[in-house]
Amino acid sequence: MALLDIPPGRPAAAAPPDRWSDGAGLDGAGLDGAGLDGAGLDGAGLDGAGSRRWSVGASVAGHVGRAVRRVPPSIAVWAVVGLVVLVPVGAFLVQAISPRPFSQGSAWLTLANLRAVLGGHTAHAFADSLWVATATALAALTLGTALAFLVHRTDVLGRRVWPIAVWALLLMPTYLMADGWEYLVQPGGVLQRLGLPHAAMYHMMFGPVGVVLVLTMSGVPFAYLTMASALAGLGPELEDAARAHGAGRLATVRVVLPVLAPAMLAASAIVFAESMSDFGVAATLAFQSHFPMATYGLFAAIDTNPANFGQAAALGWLLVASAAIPIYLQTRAMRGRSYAVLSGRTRAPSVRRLGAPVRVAATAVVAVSFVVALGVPLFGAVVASLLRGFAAGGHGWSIASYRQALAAPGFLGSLVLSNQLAAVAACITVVLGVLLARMLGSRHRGRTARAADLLLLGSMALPGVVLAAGYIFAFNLPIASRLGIDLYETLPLLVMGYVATSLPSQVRLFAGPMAQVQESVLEAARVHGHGPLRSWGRTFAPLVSRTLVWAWLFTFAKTLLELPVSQILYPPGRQPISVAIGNLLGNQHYATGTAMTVVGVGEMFVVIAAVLLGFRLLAPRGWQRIGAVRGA
Amino acid sequence: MPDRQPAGARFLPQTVDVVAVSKRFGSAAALDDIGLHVDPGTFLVLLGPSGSGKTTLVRCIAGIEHVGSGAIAIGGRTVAGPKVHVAPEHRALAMVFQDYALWPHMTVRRNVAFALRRLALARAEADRRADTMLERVGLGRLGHRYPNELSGGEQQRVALARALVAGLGLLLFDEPLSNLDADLREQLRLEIATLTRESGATSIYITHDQSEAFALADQIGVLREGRLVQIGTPEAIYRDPRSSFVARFTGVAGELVASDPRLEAHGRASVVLAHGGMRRVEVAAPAGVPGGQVAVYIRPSGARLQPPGTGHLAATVRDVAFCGRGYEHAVDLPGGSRLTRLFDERRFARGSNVGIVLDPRGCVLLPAEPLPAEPLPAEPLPAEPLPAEPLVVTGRGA
Repeated sequence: MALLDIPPGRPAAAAPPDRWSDGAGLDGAGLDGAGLDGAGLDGAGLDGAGSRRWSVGASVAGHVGRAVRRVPPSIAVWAVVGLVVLVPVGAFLVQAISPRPFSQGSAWLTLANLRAVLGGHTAHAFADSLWVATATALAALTLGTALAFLVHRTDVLGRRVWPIAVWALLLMPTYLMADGWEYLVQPGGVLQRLGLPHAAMYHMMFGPVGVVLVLTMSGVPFAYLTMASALAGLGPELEDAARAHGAGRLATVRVVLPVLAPAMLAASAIVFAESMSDFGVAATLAFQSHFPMATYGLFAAIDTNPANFGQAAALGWLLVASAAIPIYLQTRAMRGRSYAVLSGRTRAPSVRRLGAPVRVAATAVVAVSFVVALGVPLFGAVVASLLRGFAAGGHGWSIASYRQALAAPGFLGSLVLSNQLAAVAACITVVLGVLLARMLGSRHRGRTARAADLLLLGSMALPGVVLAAGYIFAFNLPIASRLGIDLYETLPLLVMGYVATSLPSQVRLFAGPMAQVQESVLEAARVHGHGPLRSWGRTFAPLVSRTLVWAWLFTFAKTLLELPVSQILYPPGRQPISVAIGNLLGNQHYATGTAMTVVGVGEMFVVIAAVLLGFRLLAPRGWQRIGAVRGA
Repeated sequence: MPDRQPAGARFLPQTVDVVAVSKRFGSAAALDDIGLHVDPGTFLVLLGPSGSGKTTLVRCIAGIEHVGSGAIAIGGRTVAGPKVHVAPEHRALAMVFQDYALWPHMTVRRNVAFALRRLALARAEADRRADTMLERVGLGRLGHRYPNELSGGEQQRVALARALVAGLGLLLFDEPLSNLDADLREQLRLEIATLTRESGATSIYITHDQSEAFALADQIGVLREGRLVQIGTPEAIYRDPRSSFVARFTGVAGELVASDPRLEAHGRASVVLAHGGMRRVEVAAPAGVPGGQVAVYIRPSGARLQPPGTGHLAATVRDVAFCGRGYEHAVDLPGGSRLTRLFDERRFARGSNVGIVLDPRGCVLLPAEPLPAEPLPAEPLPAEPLPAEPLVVTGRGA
């Protein structure tokens, strides 16, 4: 797919080279005290400066002058963010309304592309995406809130297991979930092979209901984690106060519910945005159900020869806007309104003791939810991979598909490549994520930090498919070559894509734990004689070590099986595992494809387990205590 | 490197010079042209309400914040100034933080020993010194514990031990007692006073609590909106406040509008108090007789209760509170003024009429200034009665 052609044309007149060189030589003031005494305090300029001095003892005249204006290190971070996100995506989106500077048409300013996508099949696809995302957001919010409440505020059975299931669900790519359902219910699929009725399920799943179901289940972890965090911060005080002032059960709920409103808004906005930008389901279940969705429409527009970048970018505008608006509104709704309930005095929320029958029923609800969300698609994939001659007719069980998968040319290479790319992307993302989270959490947030916050918010709403299309477009422009940026069809560009798609959520992930660590912990290390790096390494890093490990694992796992960016940006001959699986399935090699899927997912969980075990065995006791205490 | 000293050496107490330091955060001025000099071994307390810039100033001295303009020198060596910013780790100072800033992943002993690394000691020696210091602060048996296994007071003791263990010449304290309850505050205040003076180091301590400031300080600097408005000994600050802000922040029982001020001998003035009849009352006038509107700021020790019909002012007791060694009264004056925390060993009943006698040593004449929108947080010092002095009332009126 990464062989897209941009017709050679006039060199792009716009897109002037970015002058990131301004950020060079960052800290002009320097941090070294060597040779500073020369500046002295014995100048004569003090009195002239008109300063009032109060002296307790001997008078010392001083030289007064302006301190050196330091260039903030955030410039370097901005340079990276600009190169990785702003410029390519910006160029891609701008050419939808101004194609001429990019040699994509003759008009300097036109709305033709937008008009084109607002009619015909793209409009249909966009409308589908909108209503699916709305339904998904509502359903995931309902289910996620219910699960979070049952797991965190009641004594439902298996309270330690369910959060792990949530994380597993969060890491599962949507296309694998969709594939799992497909293997199960399609004609010749698992249900039919097992002699179970499948027709009704097939008709339900291969259509809008199936799409909403899979996207809802993928959205549940976002809603669950948001609501669980809100519920954890909601101590019993509010409920107690309401009850003490005469409120009955219902009235108490009415008092407490508005406190959870911001979290509910946030949860729905995130699920809506995730659903709008999802490509995995759009490219699999929805595509095969002839149910067009916007992200696939965008992909299709650049997957033709010649690519229709204008229409793709116009769809990109719609996607970005539709995902960004709810997130922006949610942020705005929360601004200036404090629902802060976490304080040093907040007591741990109480856990409601359920009666035996209710407890069993509640456990059943939780279990069924996770079975439907995670168990069914995994079951579908695993059984499909073990059925002899799956989808091609056959009998009995076999591990032949695994043998074929392992023997398939390039499979192991793809797996190793994906692991390497995911590891590199995770490392870069963690470093940038920490820097950006620090910038955003700074005590004195400047304009830069506020702009970065807005940008990150926007990036969360930037579908991977739009970003990847932006890369294909921008890095294939003649001007990129003239500037010496030859990244088109290279692995570094693929890694950049992975980083750019992971970074926004990473920063959000880091922001909380970072904010929990008092700045003074680092300052105390500096004041007591340790340099910046040593202070970070010895005091700050240990406190966030568990978060760093989780963040790395999260990016690694999400990247390992990532589809849209891989699909659009992989260099010729270097297929990541997700593309290899997609190609096999696309070429009707279902058994091998499902085996590869199972191997890929299994390997992902093995890596997660190995890293966590390594942390447990190798990290000093004090580091582990922090994680245990804070649950960071 | 001044902070690389041979094992066992102590650093000399340092002078601190702050010269015309200003600092802005966005459009807000946190520090505005601050200048002060601290002699070696002095315990300076910077006192001010929140937002007065005291934390920013101490962080600039520590090197955690960069100064906007001006200069700071420690021991005669410029550490902040034009084109100069010496990193905190190279300033050879120690600091006690408001939130303790202990490293939760290190044991108490490691927390304290961590501050000795700049001395490049062998680990055994560092541990020995850390243990000795922990003994000094009464935590000798808790070295193996982690900070979250200690109480708030114990945690602050660890922070104190960490600051003192390297024997540095400059100690900074950023409101170290503000998170503790009253009893613990008192205990730790005593320990801070004792241990820092034993160490001989120069200390700069910030607080918004004036009783803490008066108890600890050799010198007090009062900050307001980023400016150093007065500096002096605790006695001078209390007796001769140079502005209504300083008077209020260091504790007044109340303030009365006055008129027709006249300068008298020995730094005093006479005024006519509103609702006090036409009699002239003598008050302290450390800043001379200001022009414009004036007011008399009355310390709790500057007013005494008398039976009705006597004294300078008539008042009605609004509230009375038992405080162990006697009673504190709040009284309403005609015209709506109120005086609070007036001490007397006798109990004057609520609603009863009393007379108020003013003592010029506790009544200060200053330019009148409207009360700030937000009440100042200071609690007046306990109203210890001043030693008896004959009242000077130059009565000319009724």
